[in-house]
Amino acid sequence: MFNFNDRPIRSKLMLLIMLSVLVSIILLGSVFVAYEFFSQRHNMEQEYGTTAKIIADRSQAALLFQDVAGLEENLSSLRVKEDILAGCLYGESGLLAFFKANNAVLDCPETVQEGVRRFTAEHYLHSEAIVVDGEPVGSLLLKVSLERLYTQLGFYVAMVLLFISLIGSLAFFLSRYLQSYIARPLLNLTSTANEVATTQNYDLTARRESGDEIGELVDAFNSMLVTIKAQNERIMQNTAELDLKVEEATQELGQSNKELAVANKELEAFSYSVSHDLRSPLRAIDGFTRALEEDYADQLDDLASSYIHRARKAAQKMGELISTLLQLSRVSRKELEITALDFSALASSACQHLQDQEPQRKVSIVVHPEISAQADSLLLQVALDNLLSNAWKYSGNEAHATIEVGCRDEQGVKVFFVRDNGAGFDKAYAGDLFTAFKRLHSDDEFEGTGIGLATVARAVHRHHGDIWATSEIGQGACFYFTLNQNRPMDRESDAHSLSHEFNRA
Amino acid sequence: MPHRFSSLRAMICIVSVAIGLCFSTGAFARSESEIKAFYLYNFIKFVTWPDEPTTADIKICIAGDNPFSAMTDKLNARKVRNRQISVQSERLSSVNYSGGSLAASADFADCSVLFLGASEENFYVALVDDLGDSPVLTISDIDGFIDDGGMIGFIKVGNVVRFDINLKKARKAGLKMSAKLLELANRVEQ
Repeated sequence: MFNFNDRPIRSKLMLLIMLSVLVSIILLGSVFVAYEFFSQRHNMEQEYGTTAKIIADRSQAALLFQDVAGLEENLSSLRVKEDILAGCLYGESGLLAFFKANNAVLDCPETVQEGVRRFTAEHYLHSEAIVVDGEPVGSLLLKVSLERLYTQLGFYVAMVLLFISLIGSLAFFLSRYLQSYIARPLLNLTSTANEVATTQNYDLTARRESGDEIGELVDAFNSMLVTIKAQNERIMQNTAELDLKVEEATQELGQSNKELAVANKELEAFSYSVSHDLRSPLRAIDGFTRALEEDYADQLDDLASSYIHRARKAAQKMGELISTLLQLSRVSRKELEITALDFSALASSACQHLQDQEPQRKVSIVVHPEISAQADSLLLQVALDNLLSNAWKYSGNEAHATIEVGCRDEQGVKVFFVRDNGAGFDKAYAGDLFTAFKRLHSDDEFEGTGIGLATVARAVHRHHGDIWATSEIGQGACFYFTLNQNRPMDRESDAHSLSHEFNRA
Repeated sequence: MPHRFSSLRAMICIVSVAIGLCFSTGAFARSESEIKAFYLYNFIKFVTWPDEPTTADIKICIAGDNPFSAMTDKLNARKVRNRQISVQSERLSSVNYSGGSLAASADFADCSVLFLGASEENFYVALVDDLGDSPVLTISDIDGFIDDGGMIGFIKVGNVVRFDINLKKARKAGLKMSAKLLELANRVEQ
């Protein structure tokens, strides 16, 4: 289907020009032909009217004196008019005389009406009354061939067609030449725009060829290019600056990170060496106080013995503290080796270990079977040991202590948990749970170093996991953690993620 | 001088009659006297008189036997150039004027048209002479009428009534005859 809208502008312009020219001349030609047709017909009416009048006039006497020969002679003068096919002369009593052209068929009607001026498809019929002294004495009918009219008309039409085709071709060549005045600047602009679009080269400019709206368009386009180019340059500059700033910031960050790492390492090394180096003097203190206690027991009074006992207790406590500090340090420093682990088995063996240490305690332990975990075995073990020993410790006052270890799926996140029905904690202080040396219970209630949960949290965080806990005083506690996954959302409000505490440490 | 085409025309007419187109049936039904009366009336249309009045009657005088007696009323009812035709046939026969009475011929000079009946064959020459150059259209069906001073003479060519014209005489009398009429004449003397 021909779609005018999609045609190139050159075709449109040419089409417009050609269409208007052709329509105009065709209209004009048609008017001329029509005018010619009607004017020719009018001429025929005039011409044959005159002829008929002459013949009628000349036939008056012959008609009155019934001179058929005279009438026919009169009629025969019609022969000079080649178009006249027949002439019929009627008296009062009917057809009296006739004339017919060579090769024509005579068909005079029986009677004829007065004043006929009729054009049929092929003939013109003209009737003229013959009047003598105001008295109608007969009538004359002429039948004229329209062949000449048609021939002339055909010639005229041919001339008009020739004229139309001449003007049409003239208009074609003129419009071909003239359309370029409008189309060329537009085409130039289009090709420049296309080039700019494909090459992104904003240094190009379109050439202005005319002072009309297209010229203005070219100017506007050029100034637009300049604007785009300036904006582009500014953007590029900004980007470069931004890149530089980002790089600087990254460098600074890397620097501080490095510094931080160095400081951390130094700190850890320091705490490790302190812990480690503290051990031998501590062992000496413990050894000598024990020797004192054992070897000089009989020489010491009760007060001295009690002092020595308390000194030994303190030394043992310090040893424990140093061990846990060392553990925390190890958990922090160890290189991770992630492997697939049998979580259930690890938990079970930890529970067994606790039970072995205090065989007299009756604790019902439930470990869900077939739980696996992707983790570092040492760190997971440390975490489980600490959590379970916590649970074991804080459920120590319960008649029917229960510890449950398991894993559940929460919104696609694997959440491990250790639950007990022990002392629990005040959730108002839950924020301090995983901070080193912060304790919610006094040593009188439950002994502890205050480092265990900090170690667990450290281990979990090194696995990029989360840890949190829920509890009510006397209702037991439940510790949850994830490995390599964030804590699922929509936890109840008393659950506390304490990751920030450790990120800060 | 006889008309060039007279014989040819006569022939064509005969042929036309033969094929029934020369006269329609109505025309054939007319008697010879009827035709002559009709012609008489038609002659008036193609002849103009000197100083012709516009309203006075056109007097048609008939001398001798009146062959149109049956048509007199019809002719009287007609008009030519808006002038009433009046036929006067109660004239004395020209026999009465054989002595050459001027008064009598003066009576006829008052007529526009004078038809001389067949009964006047022996006297018409004197009568016509008496009229001299008076503007009276003289018509007769007597043989040789126009050669003896008459203006229009009926003749018969075969079955067809035709007429001869003495144009010279008519001109002398100041009568003008239409060329159309002359064209139709069997013979025009001038």
